[in-house]
Amino acid sequence: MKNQNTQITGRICQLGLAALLTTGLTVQAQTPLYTGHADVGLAYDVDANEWELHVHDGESDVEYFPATDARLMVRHQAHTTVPAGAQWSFLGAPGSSTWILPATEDEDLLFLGIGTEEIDPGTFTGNSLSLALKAVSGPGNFALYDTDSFGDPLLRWNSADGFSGADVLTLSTGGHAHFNWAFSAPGDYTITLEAFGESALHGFTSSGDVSYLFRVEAVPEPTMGALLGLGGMMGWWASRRKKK
Amino acid sequence: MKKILHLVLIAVCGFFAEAQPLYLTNQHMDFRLQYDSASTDSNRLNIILGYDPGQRVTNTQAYIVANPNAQLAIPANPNFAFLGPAGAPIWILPQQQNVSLPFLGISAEDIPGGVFENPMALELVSVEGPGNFFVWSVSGAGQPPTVKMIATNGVVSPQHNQANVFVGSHEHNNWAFSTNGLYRVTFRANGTFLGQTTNTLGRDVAWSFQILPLRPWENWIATNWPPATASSTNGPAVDPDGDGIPNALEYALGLNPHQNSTAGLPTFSFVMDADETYGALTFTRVKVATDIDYLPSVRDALLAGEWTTLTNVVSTVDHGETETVTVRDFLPAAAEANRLFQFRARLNYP
Repeated sequence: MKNQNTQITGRICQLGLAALLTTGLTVQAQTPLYTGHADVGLAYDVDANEWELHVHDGESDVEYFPATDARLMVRHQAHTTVPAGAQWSFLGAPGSSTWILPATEDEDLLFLGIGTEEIDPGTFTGNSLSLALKAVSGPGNFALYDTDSFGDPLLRWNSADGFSGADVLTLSTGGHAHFNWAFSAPGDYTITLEAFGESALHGFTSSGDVSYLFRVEAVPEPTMGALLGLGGMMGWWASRRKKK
Repeated sequence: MKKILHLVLIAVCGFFAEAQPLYLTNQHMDFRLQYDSASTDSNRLNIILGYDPGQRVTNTQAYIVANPNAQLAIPANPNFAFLGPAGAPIWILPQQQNVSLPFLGISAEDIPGGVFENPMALELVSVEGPGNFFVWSVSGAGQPPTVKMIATNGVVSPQHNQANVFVGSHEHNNWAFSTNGLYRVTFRANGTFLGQTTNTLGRDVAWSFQILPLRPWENWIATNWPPATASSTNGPAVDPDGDGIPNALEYALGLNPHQNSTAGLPTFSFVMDADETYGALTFTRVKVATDIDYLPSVRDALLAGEWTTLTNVVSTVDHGETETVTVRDFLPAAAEANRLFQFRARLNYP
């Protein structure tokens, strides 16, 4: 069953759209990104002193700007449970549900990074910039973390304890980085980010608040098996309707 | 004819000496898999290193360098017992960016779509160096590491000999070494053409890592040859310039391993000391070559007997980085009918 589901949705989001159209449901305005490599892309036009925070889909090489033209999908295969250990308490109680887009590529999941490749060296002081988590609206908490070489978390953003200077990620320009994106409940999320840095030409400069849309899929219930057998996306949408 | 050949060799060596290698210490960099459909067999798949936006180098042009802050301790977590005992040191180029260390990934972003099955792989062929080599990634929450490569005592584990990468994508890993030093790690790219079932293997491409600090011998190797030079050229017992002096002795005596010359070898003389005449050996000692044991020695028969190391220093002349040392026999020349002198140097490496 899992294989069949993977086969239908894996890397081909157009197929998902086709399924939506034939079922007659309202077509969403966003393009959903399910799998493959994508980046939260940070660009900055130094001449105009203008930021462009977007989504870059590495599979199709399409850029979504504004970023809300894309919906970043956290498929149900991302579901796992919070491990024991105090270092993981930021995800919730041990054994409780969490959905994680991991920092290494899993063919079943979106491989979401943060890219600064479009920013040339010398643009910002220290060739680094900051990306702050400003707000999260959704049914659960959201956290972004690295792991050290031995798998222990290095927490970068966490909505569960409010928003402060602790929710600021420092990034080198001209590169990209991968992180673990963790959500505590299924549903739709709007995540608000702000990029800022010390421009060599303009001094302090900020992107202002920029929204990114995520959707965390619920784990299919066992009774949905037959529907999933008919077609991955149709089954999934039926599941969404039933929840409402 | 022979002389001409020598001149050519010297010219080639001179070229290497002038093309300074690049030392990549803290950039984002990727081993980038390359596909050349116009080539044949293993030459179709190659590996280059991309760093910073748009920069590309081949394996003989750059060292991947880790400063001493790469050193960590192996944790008590049993998931990491494959690295060695808890608490032992380990030098890691980390999967997550540390702006003071190389941020090394594997990329198949240059591979055209529709040619290879997913995933492709960077395969470990061999490791030469003073310690063991490991590659793993960590992800998610509390999962054990994905162990990709292990080479211990120069032997690659058949179960852990490759890291996968998806066409059009890239991956970051932890690259670890069990001790500091100079390593030559040989990889090859591999992939399966769409619709086929057997792997196509790329050619071997060796990359040099400097996990600082280097030992004196390693430093000499890295100074005298380009990155990725094979040990069949720069190994201690090899004599690439054909002058009969192997590399370890060229190193010990401060000689040029690219110059076919016997100038600078130890010399024999008679010296006077306290009104007695002694046989003596004069040799050059390189001050930084602390991993060399200089062993001027003597015995009283050509074919038999124990060598005795000479310790009676008659004179030491300082030349800055080197010094000229003269040591005499412990018996006067008049005391014995036969004395055979030998100079040896022992390299203690690693």
